[in-house]
Amino acid sequence: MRIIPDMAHWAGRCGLTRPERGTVREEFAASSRAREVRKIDPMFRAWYRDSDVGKVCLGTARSRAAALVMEETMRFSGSVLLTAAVLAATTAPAQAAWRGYISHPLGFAFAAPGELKVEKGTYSGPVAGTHASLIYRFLDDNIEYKVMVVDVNAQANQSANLLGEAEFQFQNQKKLLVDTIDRFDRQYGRKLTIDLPNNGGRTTAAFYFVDGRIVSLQATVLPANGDYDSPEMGRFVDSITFSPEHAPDDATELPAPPK
Amino acid sequence: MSRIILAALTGAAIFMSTVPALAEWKSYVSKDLGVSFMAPGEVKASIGTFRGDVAGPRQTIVFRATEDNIEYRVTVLSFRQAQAHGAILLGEREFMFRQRNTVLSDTFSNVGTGKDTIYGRKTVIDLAMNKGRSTGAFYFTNGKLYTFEATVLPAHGNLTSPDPGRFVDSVKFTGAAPGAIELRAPKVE
Repeated sequence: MRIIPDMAHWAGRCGLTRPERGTVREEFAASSRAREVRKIDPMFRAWYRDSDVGKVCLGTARSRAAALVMEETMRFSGSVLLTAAVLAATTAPAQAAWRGYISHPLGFAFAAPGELKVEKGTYSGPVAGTHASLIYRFLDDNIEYKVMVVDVNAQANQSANLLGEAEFQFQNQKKLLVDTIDRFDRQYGRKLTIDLPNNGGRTTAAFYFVDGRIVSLQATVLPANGDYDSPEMGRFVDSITFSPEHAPDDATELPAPPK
Repeated sequence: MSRIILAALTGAAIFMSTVPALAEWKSYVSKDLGVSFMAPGEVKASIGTFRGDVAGPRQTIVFRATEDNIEYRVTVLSFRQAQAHGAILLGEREFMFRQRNTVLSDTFSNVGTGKDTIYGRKTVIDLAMNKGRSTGAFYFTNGKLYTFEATVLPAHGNLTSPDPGRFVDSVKFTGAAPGAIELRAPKVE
């Protein structure tokens, strides 16, 4: 931007001794010295009023007005977009809320989404033998959540072996991704993640031995979900607590198993 | 040509005579503690102590040998009254072994087969402050917590020595190799 000769004159007059090429006119127009000169020098006032400097001032004001209009326009557009997003979200299928569950007889609590189903199953191993198992199952957004409880109290003296067997069988002949020790509430267990064969999904599981029972939480992301890095698996297995004082106040008491 | 061969053989013989001989690996068995293993050098028994948050303070029985700057150690703790807590006690021992050290591997380690399988863990760690590399195997069976540790000290120079693996993999809880040397377990209070 070239310096207008008149501006150079008045820049010197106003004490802006080194107006440079490309000096923003607004800086000159905003100069306090220039305002003082404008008060006392009628020629400068005339020039200021009629020249680009004055128009720059006006232009600045207009720019500010234009900016305000632009800002309002963008706010309105943003509101429209936000409203549209909310409408879209309310019409999309909602993911179920996570709820707390507790079993005082079994001595643990956990959280899970979706509808609870209670089932009986069978657990077996070379060391454990065959035992009935109790399964609390949930399904939400194509992720299956399962809490399995196996009563092996008659063999509790083999707790370390029974727990080790359960962990070993879970990952045996499968692709093991994570195998780590898990410690909390004075309980030591194990957390494992495996890929199921034939692209059957990914399961994260935690295993503990508590009060004569093998307790295992397992979350499986099914292929229909596809997000094998979903944090919901970890959220589920990490929600377990063996201290009732850590359970939420509104936790639902788990029903007794079917006979 | 024959002189060259003779000189080479003589040099090799001189070299071999100056290298310290490595001790032979022998089988050891403790019938009192229900365990057998293999180790080089002379195994000595002693009483030690252990303390864990869950285990509390306890006396331990320790069998120890040192050979070629590798320390071999078998530690046994008795929890006859707390066998139902074996899983937790085993987990605590594993956790303490790896705590504040760099874990290189942590895998299943099973001894035996079928319904007699004893399920344990094998962990390899680099000790803090470059104090060496330790391989540990942990089991809880028959009311006892067993720890098998082999530590390659920096003076050995080869942290990847196969000897620690040979030691921890030699563990048996039933039977012992013929001719195994019987170890007498010292009495704890």
